[in-house]
Amino acid sequence: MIGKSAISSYKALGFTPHNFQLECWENTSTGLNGLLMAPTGSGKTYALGLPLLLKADPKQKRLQGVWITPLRALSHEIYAALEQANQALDLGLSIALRNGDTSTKERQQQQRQSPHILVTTPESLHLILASKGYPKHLGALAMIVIDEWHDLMGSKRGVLVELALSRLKRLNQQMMIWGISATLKHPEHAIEVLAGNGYLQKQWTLIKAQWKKHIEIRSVLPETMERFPWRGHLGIHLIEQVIPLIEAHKTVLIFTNTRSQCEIWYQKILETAPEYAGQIAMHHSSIDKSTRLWVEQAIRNESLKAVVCTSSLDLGVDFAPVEAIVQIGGPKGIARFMQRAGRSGHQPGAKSIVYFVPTHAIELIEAVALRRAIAEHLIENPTPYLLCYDVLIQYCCTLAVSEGYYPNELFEEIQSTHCFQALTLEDWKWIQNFLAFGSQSLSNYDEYKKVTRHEDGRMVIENRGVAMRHRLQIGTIVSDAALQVVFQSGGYIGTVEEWFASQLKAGDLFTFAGRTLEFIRLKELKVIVRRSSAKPTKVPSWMGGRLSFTSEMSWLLKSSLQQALDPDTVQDAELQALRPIFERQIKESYLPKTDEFLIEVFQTREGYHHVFYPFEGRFVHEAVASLLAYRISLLGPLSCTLAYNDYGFEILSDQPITIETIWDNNLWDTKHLNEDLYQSINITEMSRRTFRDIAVISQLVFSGYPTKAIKTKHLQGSSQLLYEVFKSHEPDNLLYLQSLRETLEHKLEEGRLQQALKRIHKANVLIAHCETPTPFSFPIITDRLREKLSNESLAERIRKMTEKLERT
Amino acid sequence: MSTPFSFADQHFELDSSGALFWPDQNCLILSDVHLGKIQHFRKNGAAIPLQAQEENYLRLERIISRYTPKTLLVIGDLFHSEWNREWTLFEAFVNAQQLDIVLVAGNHDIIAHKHFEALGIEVVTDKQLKNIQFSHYPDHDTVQFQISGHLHPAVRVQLGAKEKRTLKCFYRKNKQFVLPAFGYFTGNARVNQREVDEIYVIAEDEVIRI
Repeated sequence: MIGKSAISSYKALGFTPHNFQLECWENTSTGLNGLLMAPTGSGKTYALGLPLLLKADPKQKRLQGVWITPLRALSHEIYAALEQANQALDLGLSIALRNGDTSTKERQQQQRQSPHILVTTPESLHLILASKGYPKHLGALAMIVIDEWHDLMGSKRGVLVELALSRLKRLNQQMMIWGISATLKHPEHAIEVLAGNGYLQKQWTLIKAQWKKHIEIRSVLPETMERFPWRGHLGIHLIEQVIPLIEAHKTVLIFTNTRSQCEIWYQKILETAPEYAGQIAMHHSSIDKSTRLWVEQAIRNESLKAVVCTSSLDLGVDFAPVEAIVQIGGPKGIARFMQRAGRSGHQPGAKSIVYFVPTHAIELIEAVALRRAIAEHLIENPTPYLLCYDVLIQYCCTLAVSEGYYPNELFEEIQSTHCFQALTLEDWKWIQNFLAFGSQSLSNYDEYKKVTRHEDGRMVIENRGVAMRHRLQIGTIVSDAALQVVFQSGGYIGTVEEWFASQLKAGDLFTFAGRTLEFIRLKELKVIVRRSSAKPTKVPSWMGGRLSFTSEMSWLLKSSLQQALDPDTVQDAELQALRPIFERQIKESYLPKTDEFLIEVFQTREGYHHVFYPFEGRFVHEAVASLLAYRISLLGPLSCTLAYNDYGFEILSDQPITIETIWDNNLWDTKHLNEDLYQSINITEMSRRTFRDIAVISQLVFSGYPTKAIKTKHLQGSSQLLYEVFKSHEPDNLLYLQSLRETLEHKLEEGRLQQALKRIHKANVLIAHCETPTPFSFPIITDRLREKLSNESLAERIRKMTEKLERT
Repeated sequence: MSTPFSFADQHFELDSSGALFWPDQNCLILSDVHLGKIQHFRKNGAAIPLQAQEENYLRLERIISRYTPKTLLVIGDLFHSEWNREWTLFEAFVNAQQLDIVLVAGNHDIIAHKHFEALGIEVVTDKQLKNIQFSHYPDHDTVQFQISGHLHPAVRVQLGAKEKRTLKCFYRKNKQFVLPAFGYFTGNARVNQREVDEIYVIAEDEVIRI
């Protein structure tokens, strides 16, 4: 029924349906759940938007369809598309938008008089679950669509979606669930996570859009390879060649990997081509929302030549005028790259053009690897989070704030999600005790107050302060304490992280959001600035945002190198350009094949260099390097420093290490991996950082609300402190244990680490005794950020550093 | 362990607990203990382990038995917020001590002074001992030598190319000397090394000038 009316509706809108759209309409008619894999710009919105609209009955004044998007910008687009269809087809439905920008008044309005269709975010959906009467409000849902599921499922926001779905399924037995994702390597897995534990295969279907989007990667090559730096990380030296690209296209998006790189590129473009003033803009997540929205609108209006941006523009938003993408530096992951590429060429029949600007020579191989990834449709699946007690605690509070819940009933429902399928009754009881008694046994002396357990077992939050703080803190996105940057004369520009602000002195100049600002003072949580025309000296940098290779990327990179070895198959311009560098590498050392493991050994004034090349990405290298150095140090005294990049790592020591001893002593062994990691890497330091997010999500600390001044009543606390308190006083606390587990699983990528060690152990080892640094080793050994292996006391280390400072 | 330190022609000991001992006056000076903070958090829904609150009393007992002072001078923020049941622990602690306690009230000390006074604690807004003024709030342009707390100072110390650590510290700027927070469950505020005259960091059980 819906199938037919969808076809005629779509034609009425003036389009011709694609096969995947027909499939979606047919399957939604039969009430199946499903996952649609389709790229942006393929018409996926109507593929599921039409069934969402057509399933709703305008006469029934209740909420009947929900569309969830991860981004606010995206929710505006979806809303506009649905509303357009609603009006063109004269469906008579009311469609509403609800996200963090929606005013309280509008929200109350929506609660009183339900729209038929709601476009929202995972956090806003949880806010609805935190309001009284939600079972009635959400009790007539016929269909829910989760957009960009591949993005959500790899984060804790995905867990929010899973939990919300478990509740909605209970309220609406007949509700259809549909996910939309980019093309994934293992779509079944994405369905499993969405469907939850014990899903029935026959109720789910997978639809693939046979949509061939042509993506062309053109690398920006230096005029002569000799002038190309072997290391570097900004790519600024190629700016002269980037300017003509901006000129040649209507609108260009220039993607950088970090916000500070974004600021620098924006500055440099204006310095090199001042005529672009007013025609280029910047977009990153720390810039004020209204400025970002303005930029997004300006792209649509074609009033901008170029926008320098970060991953803040990665997802979903379609900008028709964007003709080409410039990617500065390796994007490190295939999914991210495809997403960025998808931002261009939205005109029918147009292909996406991506210009790749390498920041150093070897990075050019990444362009080759990406090209192969696109040809072979290899997009890595994100790793979903498991047993997120922090999100679960938040969710329990959400339900306790609104209608209350019975732990016995809820347990089964929670277990039906993918994330909590292995939740034990014991842990569930611990969580309930944590909520009701602050993980203590009941005592008169304790004044803990959060969730009250009623006599019949119902869990309810009665304290108004607790309830208010809970609603303000729903969500899982945690950022470092952000300070607002404001002009002295008023006017909000964006946010910088606290640690950056803390190093500013009055009169310091820094560049932010494309302007040069002079720091005046810090007042409350505001950085007060004035405009300056002088040359800036500082660029704020933001923590996080450091990217590492994904495992697919790492594999492709190795095989691209192999391709370079075979002169008959070399076609890529990048590999040809790299030829002189490869020749030099082969002359001095080797170019490893996929089954080979290269180790280079040489001596300089600095000491003995041992450079290993697993090509597994920076994060894995960091762990492997520390692990190996630690295990070598067990064999005998060793004083060394470590350095790493995405290609390999280095152990620099004052004495030579015999490589054979590593194999003889089985130092790549995966046995006792965790114990050795605890010894070798500062896991405590890493999990302290992980714990910060956990403490905020589970609401152990109240982070306040960035734009609202809420009286915190002496409740500001630091998660670092809490970490120490739990570590020494409650080491069996599930949230504390979660921080250790997440560090191993998600930060150290334990699974990949194990596989990498096994691969290395089995590989054919090539040991090259080199005379001088090779093209491969040069970027690693010149890395100034080195880790030192040391077992001296803290006081001893401080004394040494102080002495060193005094000497220089 | 402690490190000798002179200030205003007086001799002091900087203790690695964050306290300051003044032998001439037989006086132990400390700041920002924030008792009752854990209970305050718990009362507002943050489940911080209750056992942790004993840590402050252990620290106090340890340092009192080390120096056996005649006077304990707390220069502010002794109790974190409104009255809560940790007060009974505090009461028991005070009753067991054989020394004079003076509290220079800080911004967190919002509990009525009479409750402190009932325990024999003298509450003042500032205190003068010899040529030194003690107040909760620091004033870097003070003309008189002054010792204060309030800021919970800490510095970020570079320990290697990539490793930095934030450590509690004492610091002096002009005639103002500032103590770190003594309390166990207290946060820090970073001071800019370039802007002060002397810094002493607490590195586990040692105090080191940097």
